[in-house]
Amino acid sequence: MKCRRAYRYICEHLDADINSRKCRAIKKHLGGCPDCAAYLDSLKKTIFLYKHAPVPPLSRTVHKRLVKVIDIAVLEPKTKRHRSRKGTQPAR
Amino acid sequence: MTLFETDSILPLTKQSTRIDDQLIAAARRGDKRAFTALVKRYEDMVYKFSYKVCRDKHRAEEALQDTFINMYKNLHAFDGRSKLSTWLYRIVANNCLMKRRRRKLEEMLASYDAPSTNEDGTIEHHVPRWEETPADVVMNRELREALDRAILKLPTDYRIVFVLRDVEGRSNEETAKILGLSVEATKSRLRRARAFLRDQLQPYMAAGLEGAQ
Repeated sequence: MKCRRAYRYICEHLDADINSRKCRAIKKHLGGCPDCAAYLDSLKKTIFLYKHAPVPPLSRTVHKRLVKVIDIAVLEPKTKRHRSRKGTQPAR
Repeated sequence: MTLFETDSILPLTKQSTRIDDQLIAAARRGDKRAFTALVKRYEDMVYKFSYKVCRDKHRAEEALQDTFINMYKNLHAFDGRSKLSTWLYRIVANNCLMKRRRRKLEEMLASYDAPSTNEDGTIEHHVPRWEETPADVVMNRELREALDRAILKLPTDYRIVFVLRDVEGRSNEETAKILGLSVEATKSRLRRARAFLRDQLQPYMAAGLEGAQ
């Protein structure tokens, strides 16, 4: 396997079955190609960094605001519409 | 514990899917408490996914609101064939895609399908080693900013594929379903996104992380 093919498969099959034919070919290539080995290592580190990058927590304030927005935007208008329809029924 | 007092959904189990089904049925009948319970179960997942795609707290909070309003409006359309989480990921993804600015970068990303090689097929340039292992890296402000800058350069659909597959750990099949892409197109976007991000971080990481120490 040449670097060009290895490069493509490294990206595509980082999480592939390590016993697959492609993976065995990549491993064989990596054993004799320090550049491709360094490339694979840096790709794994890239994914690791994004996976472990901190996410600011969702605050109670945001949760409360969300519930309030849903009340106003979604649930209340439905109730009002329902009441309004009832209110506009022609008198018999 | 009542149906309405259930906690966050993770890990997803058969029982949590059953609880979702019951809450969705109740919410469709107009039960406000059931819908609020669904919000409580999925708000953390939606917020974190939005943040990882938008890389901005306020935009993620905005996406959170948009997603649940959208979810309520379309609750009748949820057929239960896919998991509720898959459906919610799709709503967030569509929300992000609607706001995207398609860039010429997409054309440029095609160059990440293969490296520049010599005639004998070996890589043209020496690939420097990233000496530090990520576990040793302090996730300081400078590194966080470098990660944000790099991922924000990706077109939104590439970014969503990368986050769903590599950060959220979803399968190629589920990612393809969420984005309405073929599995092959999903793999192609993932391959390019990984290579692009790696190249963007290269100057920072290969410099021995002097700035991160």
